[in-house]
Parts: sequence; C-alpha cells; structure tokens
Amino acid sequence: MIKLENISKTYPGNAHYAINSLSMVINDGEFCVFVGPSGCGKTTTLRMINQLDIPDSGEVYVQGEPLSGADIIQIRRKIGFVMQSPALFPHRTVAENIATVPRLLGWDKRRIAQRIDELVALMSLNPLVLKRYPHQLSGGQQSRVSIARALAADPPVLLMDEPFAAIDPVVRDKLQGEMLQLQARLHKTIILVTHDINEAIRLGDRIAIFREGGHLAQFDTPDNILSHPASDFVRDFIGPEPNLKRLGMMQVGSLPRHDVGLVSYQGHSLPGHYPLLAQSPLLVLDANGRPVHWQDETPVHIAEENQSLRQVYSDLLDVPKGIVVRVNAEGSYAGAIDSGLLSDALNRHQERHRHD
Amino acid sequence: MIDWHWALDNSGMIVDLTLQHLQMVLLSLVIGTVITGFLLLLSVLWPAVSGPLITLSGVLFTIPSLALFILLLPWTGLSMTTSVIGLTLYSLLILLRNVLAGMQKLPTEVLESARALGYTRFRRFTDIELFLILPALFAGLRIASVTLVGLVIVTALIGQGGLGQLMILGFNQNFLTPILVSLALSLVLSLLFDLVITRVGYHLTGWTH
Repeated sequence: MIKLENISKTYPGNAHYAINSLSMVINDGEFCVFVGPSGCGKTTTLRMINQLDIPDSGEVYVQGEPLSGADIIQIRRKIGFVMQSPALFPHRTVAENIATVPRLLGWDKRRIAQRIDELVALMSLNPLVLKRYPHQLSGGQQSRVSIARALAADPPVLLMDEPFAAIDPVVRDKLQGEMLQLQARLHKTIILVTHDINEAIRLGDRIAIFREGGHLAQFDTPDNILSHPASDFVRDFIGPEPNLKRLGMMQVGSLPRHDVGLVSYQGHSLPGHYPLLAQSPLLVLDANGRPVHWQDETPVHIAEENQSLRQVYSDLLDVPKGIVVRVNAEGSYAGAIDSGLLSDALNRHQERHRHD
Repeated sequence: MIDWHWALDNSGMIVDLTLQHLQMVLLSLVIGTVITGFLLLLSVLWPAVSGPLITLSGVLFTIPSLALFILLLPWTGLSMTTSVIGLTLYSLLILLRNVLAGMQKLPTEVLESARALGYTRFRRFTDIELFLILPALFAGLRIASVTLVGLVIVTALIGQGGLGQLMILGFNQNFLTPILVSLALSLVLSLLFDLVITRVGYHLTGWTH
C-alpha cells in the first residue's frame, strides 16, 4: 500500500502550491493512473513516492513505512521506476542495463543471469539484443528494456512517468496491451502518469484526475468517472462520448446472453433457453451450430466474445436487422446483441457501481 | 637547405632530446589527468566548487607560458621539475575545462534514472558518470597533448625544452638545420600523440559507435 498524507510542495520562485495538502491511498496490486493537464502536480506526486522530489510537508508511506526517516537508497531499490525517455545507460549493454538493480543489491552472477532470462521472456525481447548497446535498439525495444530494468529485482511497486508518451501510436497501443497482460500476471502496485485520458481509461483500475495545484478532482474507477464525472472540470477532461469510452472498456462476453429465434438448416425450429431480443427474426444455423444467414437469406454479422462493445455498437449502426450475432471461439452461435442490450449494459454497470 | 651530415653526426643528441621531449609531455599529461580526476571527484562531492574551478582554469590559462615558468623559478630553479609543473598546470586547465563542461552536458534523464533505481552518489560517479565523461576526457587529452608538444619548446628558455634546445642552438649559430629538424620532429610527435590518443579513446568508448 502507498499512502500520501497531507502532502504539500511549493517550488522556489512560485507563490502557488505545486501540490496542496494532497492525501490519497493506493492499494496493493492496484494499477492506478495519475492523469491531468500539464502543471497539475501529477509527476511531482509520483516522484515523491521514491523521494526524487521531497514534499515540504506531509508524509509518504510505502508498504507502511514512512519515507522521511527511511534509508531512501534501499527503498528506491524496491521500487521500479520507468521514465518518459527509456534513459538506459548508454555505455552498458542491454543485459547489463537490466542487471542494474540486482547488481546494486549484490546478487551473484548466476542468479542475475537467470533473472535476465526470465525478463527477456516476460517482456518478449529477442535474446539477441542482450549484447547490444541501447542506441542500437528501436524506441519500442528501448521501452521494453527500460521496463525490464525496472522489474529486475521484482519490486512490489512500479512507478511509470509517461512511459509511452514519446512512442509512435502503433507501438504504444501494443505496449499498453502488454502492460495489461503483465499486470494480470504480476499483480504489482503500479502508478502510471499520463496526460492521455484514453490511456488512463484503458490501463487504470482506478484513475486519479489531477487539476492545477495538485488537487484531486476525482479518484475513482474509469467507469464511475465516465458515468458520474464529479465536476465540470472532470467532464471537460474526459472529453466527448463518455458512453462510447465506457463501451470501449466492456467486452461482448460480459453481456448477459439473449437469443433470437433459431432454425436448423432443414427448417426445424430449435429451442432457446435465454430471453429473446425485442425484435427477434429467425436465424439459420448449420449442423455444427454455426450461424449461416437470416431466414430471409440476408447475411449475418458476427462478433467474438473478446470484441469491445464499442466496436459492436459501431457495427450495429449498419448491419442487417440491427442485430449482431455472438459466436464462441469455435464459431458456434452464442447469442445476439441489439442496441437496447448495450443501453441496458451501460445502465446496469452504473447501478452496480452505485451499490458497491 | 638541410645539412644532413650535421643531422647524422648529431643523431644521438637528437634522439635524446626527442625522448626528453616525449617524457615531459607524457609526464605532464599523466599527472594532469590524475589531478583532473581528483578535482572532478571533488566537484561531484561538492557541486558548488564546479563553477569556480571552471572560471579559475579559464583565468589561469590566459597567463603567458613563459611568465608562468619564470614565476616558478624562485622555488624550483632551472630544473625539469619547473617545466613539468608548468606543463602539468596547462594540461590540467585544458582537461579540467573539458571534463567539467562534459559533466554538465551529461544526459540528465540517464542520471535521474540512476538515482531512481537506487544508486548512491559515489557509485553513480564511478559506474556511470566516469564512463560517460570519457569522450570529453579524450577530446581534452588530444588538445592538451598537441598544446604541450608546442609548450615544451618554450621551456628551452629555462634550460629544459627537449627539441626546443635544437631551436636555441640554431638561433645562436644562425644555422637552419637544427631548427628544421626540431620543427619536423615536434610535428611528428604531435601527430603521434593525436593518433595514439584517438585510437585508445576509440577502444575505450566502444558504446558510442
């Protein structure tokens, strides 16, 4: 757990608070994203957690230990840090870069070599790059090495300061996806700073929206922030189409199953066990239960279980009958979706969070 | 124009003077580098001294070389020590300026990430800064060595001077050959230093290319 208690900070020559009595708690295993306009204090707050910046007043606790009296060098070795630029050591090979913290901690050579192998696999790095120098790598590879270096000594906490800001959109998208997979396996306490609300929505279990002067405008789950922005500032910051963004976070598989009328290829009607959609035309299935076409022979549009509801919503606007058919991994019929179901999903999501 | 017979007859002396020249340059460079390293460490431990050191080395560098040697005479006399002290001071000024300026230009985000990962200040210096400063150090060594090869000649006026002795000899006897021999050999020495330092630097900074 990371706890900030009444943190304040001013910078010399600036009368305004950079951060004004900020308090917050980040739980163990939580992926927390700090987001906000530039100058809102989000980066300074992050840097206070490993004392790269020191608060004028207030206290930071990492794993229950107050930092003001702690041996900060030892604390930093237990906190992974990834900066905006990969900032690898240019005179060290990739392997030596990754080995940085284990070497500082005095691990023996075999243990370090073993750990490097693990990290190469974890970050899907090509083992051939281990002997190269950082400047011989692409930007995306450097970022991966930088994350591997931060994770090398298996720290419980990982701090990331706009790690993907300087990376091209395609690679950024890929790295964000990898971060999520990584977190699903590692369950670190991660704090990531970004100015990109969409990155925050995609990555965060909870999002802290900062505004000028280090005030917390809202600190909540992405869905609650999108469905119940706490102020006009938050509303402006999350931008237009909050419902589309919420749909973007949900997947087909999360919808309760609804059916349409089903007939076999031979024309026999098939039994369904789930509630029918409001408009429920007949769908023809083949012998293996795969959708063939609607009974009037118009084509069927299908969606797989892991597709985002945002994509489904977009498809619904111009598919025949206004219905998208769900299929499982084998391609067999697994239900149907119309726009009413998506509205229900948004409302139900809100209800659930309201009663949490 | 050149009296080859004189050169051949005096080849022993020419070789001796060349070696003496080489020795003075090498000695001053080595001592200068060591002291530079020491002052660099000082400026790392007390960053406040870095600015004054740069200013001081700039000011000292403007003292004419001959004046510096003469200033030293009351203490160390007409000796090799006098010339090596003076030469060392010059090499030190060049090296220190290069290295301190290089320190200020080190990539801040790299040093910051070292801090964030849990480096102590001293270890950051020995593990990282010392390596990243090498290109600046070697650039300084090249300039210093070429400057010193020239400056050694001046020390002929206080009875040292290596190849500078040949210059004085030529002037006194109004005889061109020793002057030309001295010129040619100091040129060769300069090129040799430049070449060797460049090669060594290239091998020590493999990560830059």
